[in-house]
Amino acid sequence: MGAILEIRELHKRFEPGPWVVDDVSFTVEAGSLMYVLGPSGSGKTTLLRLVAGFEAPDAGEIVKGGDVISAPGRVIAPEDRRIGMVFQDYALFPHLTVEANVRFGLDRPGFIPLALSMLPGLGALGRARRTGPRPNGWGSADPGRSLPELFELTRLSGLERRYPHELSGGQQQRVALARALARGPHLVLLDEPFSNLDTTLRRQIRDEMRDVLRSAGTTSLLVTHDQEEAINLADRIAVMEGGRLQQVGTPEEILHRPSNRFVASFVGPSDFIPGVVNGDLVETEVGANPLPPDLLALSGTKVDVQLRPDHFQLCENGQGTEARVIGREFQGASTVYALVLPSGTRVQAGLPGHLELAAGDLVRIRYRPPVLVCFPVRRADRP
Amino acid sequence: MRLSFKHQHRPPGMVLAGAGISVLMLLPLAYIAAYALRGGAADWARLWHTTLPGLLFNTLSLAAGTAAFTFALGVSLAWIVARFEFPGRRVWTWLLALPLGVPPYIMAYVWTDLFLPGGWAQVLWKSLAGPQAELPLPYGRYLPTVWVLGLATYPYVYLLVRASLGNHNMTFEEAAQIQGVSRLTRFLRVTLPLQRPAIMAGLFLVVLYVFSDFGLVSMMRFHTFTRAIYLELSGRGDRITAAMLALVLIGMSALLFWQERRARSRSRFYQTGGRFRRLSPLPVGRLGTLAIWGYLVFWFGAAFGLVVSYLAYRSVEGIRAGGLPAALWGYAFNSIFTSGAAATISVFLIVPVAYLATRYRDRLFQLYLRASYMGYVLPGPIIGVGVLFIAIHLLSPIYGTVAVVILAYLIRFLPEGLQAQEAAFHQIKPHLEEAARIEGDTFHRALLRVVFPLAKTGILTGWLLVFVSAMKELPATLLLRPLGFDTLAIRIWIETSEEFYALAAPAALVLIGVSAPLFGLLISRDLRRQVT
Repeated sequence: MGAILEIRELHKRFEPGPWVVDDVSFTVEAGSLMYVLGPSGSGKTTLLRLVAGFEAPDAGEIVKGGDVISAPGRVIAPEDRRIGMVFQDYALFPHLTVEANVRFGLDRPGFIPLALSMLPGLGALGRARRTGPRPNGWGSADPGRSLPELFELTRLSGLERRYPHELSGGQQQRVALARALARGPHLVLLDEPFSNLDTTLRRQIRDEMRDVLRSAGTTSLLVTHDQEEAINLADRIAVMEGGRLQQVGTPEEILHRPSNRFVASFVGPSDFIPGVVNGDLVETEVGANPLPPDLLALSGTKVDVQLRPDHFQLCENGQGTEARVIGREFQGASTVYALVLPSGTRVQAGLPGHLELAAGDLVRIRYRPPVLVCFPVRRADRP
Repeated sequence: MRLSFKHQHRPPGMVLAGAGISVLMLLPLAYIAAYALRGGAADWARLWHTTLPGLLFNTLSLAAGTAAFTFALGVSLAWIVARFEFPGRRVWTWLLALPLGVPPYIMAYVWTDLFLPGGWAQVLWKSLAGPQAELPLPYGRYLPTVWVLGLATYPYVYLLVRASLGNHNMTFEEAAQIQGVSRLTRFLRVTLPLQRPAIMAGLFLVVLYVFSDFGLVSMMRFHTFTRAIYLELSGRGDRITAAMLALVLIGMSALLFWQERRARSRSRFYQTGGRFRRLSPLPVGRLGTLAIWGYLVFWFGAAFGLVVSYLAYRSVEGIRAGGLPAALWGYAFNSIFTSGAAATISVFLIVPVAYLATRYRDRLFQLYLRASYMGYVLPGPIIGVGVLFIAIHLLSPIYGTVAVVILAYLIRFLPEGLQAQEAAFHQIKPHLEEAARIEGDTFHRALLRVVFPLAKTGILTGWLLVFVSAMKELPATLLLRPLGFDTLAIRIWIETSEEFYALAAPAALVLIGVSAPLFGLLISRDLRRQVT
């Protein structure tokens, strides 16, 4: 399958501010789940709105299925893009039932009935269904699936007559998703779709949503600031910061071969300590590990090594490094301890919860990651 | 495929319409200023040495007296219905706002008639004190005018303070209580100061009304700016002096208006942060209930009950004597037709202004908004003057037709509808329109399918506000109406100024009968939102 969406050297700013989207290029493969990941203010939502057609780019272009849909001075209206969208607050129409919300894009009430429906007592006219030919150049292409199928898929059957305010947060989100899918869009955009949900529900709901998106067979472009969500759900991730694209890759690539320090530290909590390359190994205060294969460095090169809390191991007496406990934080089965190394460096290390270490205790540890992440020291980084 | 060339592309039709509406709203002011500037320094000096000081003194002292009266009355009534639990509390909450539905000049007419020979007050006094007794009353003009004006306008203060007390956070009172502060001190030091924004807003409305009132002061024969302007124009036909006086009054109103806006934006009391407990009314005993009912009945009677029953009595008397004048229904039709037309047109004119101002951060659209709010600071006689000038210079084909009257209503009352629509559009999240767009609707379709249905209540409220206000309008109608075109308000004016008091009663009753229920509808919707 080829790329369905291509973003080419896209630039956007809101005068007189700085670039909000600064020279961003990437492609989205048809049928895949693409995430744009970044902290708030990184320009990711603006990027999504550019793809939707709510904003016009200042330079660059957006190509969908071979057609340029956005370029400076040439922006195809949102309604003509064959794109669906799930808004962060879902934006369900509060005056319409679940069913009317979902079929909103399929119904084409005429202008005159609509105008008349404004008059008191004639509201029913505006809801008259005239499911005409696909409007606005969506052509007679595959209309997607039938509405009952869609309700089935999104588990909304039985809720058709309800109003949005009568639904739970998860149900509202499924209505928003069903509405976005109803017209059989080529691409579905989702803006922080899980940020309005309870943390306890989030994991279950997002797995459900991924299944719906997969079985609907659409291409999805999602935006989030939650690295855990992106790593777990995405086929590919584009990491953004300060309007610039930092890295595009699979979750594994982002996690194990981050292209820079920002990406490395954004995708998970971590500390950096100094290390030295010695042959095929990188030696640090907490043990030696193999040099990553894609990093070519001579012996004696100074590097910064990333320590993720998940990859620490306990050691027998006489092995590893002795560290002193100064604090702890419970995280499910394991406990993350704040430790001080002999050099005085502080690190976070996840250790089995049954140890019950207290502040002041000594513990022997070693760092053993699946793939070591390190960056050569730039002169600017350290004096 | 259609292209939208810039995103946030401003809908060109609306932008153009908004510009046209702004110009229309500013035209009366522009003409008044142009006329006033024809008066040279000598004219201004003459004005300063003759009428101006007296007018200023009269208008300002009337405003001060009325503000003091409405403050005491409005705050005490709001406090009683918010703070105490007694039988009928909910109904009273609603009833006490009802006098706002009575045109103030009708109140003036009834109260005047009550004290004329043969009026109820005189009859009552003579039956108590003997047939020869004279009613000892301050027959000066100031106190009676303040009395009637206060009865007509106290609901502004009452409604706003009542709403503010509905949002009052009990925690503040409890904090004061735990400091060992007594109940009365608590009221004076905590509760009342917290209602200050609402009280000030209410008093501003009262004073703004006093500046603009024409009918009431004229019937009470109290000489203020509006009356002077009207007399210059209708009596002497001196347009330049009328425009000069109008400019002074507009200046006073505008000053007040911007002061109020500034005060409101500066003093925002956030009463509802985090935990929030409403004021729970205190139960009162039998004696307390009696006292409360006595107080409420007295003031409601003075402002509404007495007025309506007196009108009913006079009407019955009139019908017995000679039957209802058949023309009455014609007057009612004229009132309803012109007001309905103005309200309906206003809805369409408001949409672009309100929509643009709430959707786009654009200086131009804020200017549209301000221009459209101009009617608030243009009292009726001034609108009359301004529209008269427009009709003479720009729209001579419609001069002397009903269209001029409707135009005046539009300019004067459009702000009331605008306020309702602006609030309604504000509450609709822009995301909803974007959702409609991405679902395939064009800009206009999204308006019709999402924005308007959601703003329907606000739009309807705006229509009602304009309609009710236009029904009561007197001075602009007087100045602009075609010969022989009588509305209910005009009939009341004519009959009373020729001292056929009984003849005015049926028209007044019909006018209240049409506008008070609509007004009651408006406030009950408002109160339901804010009262437990």
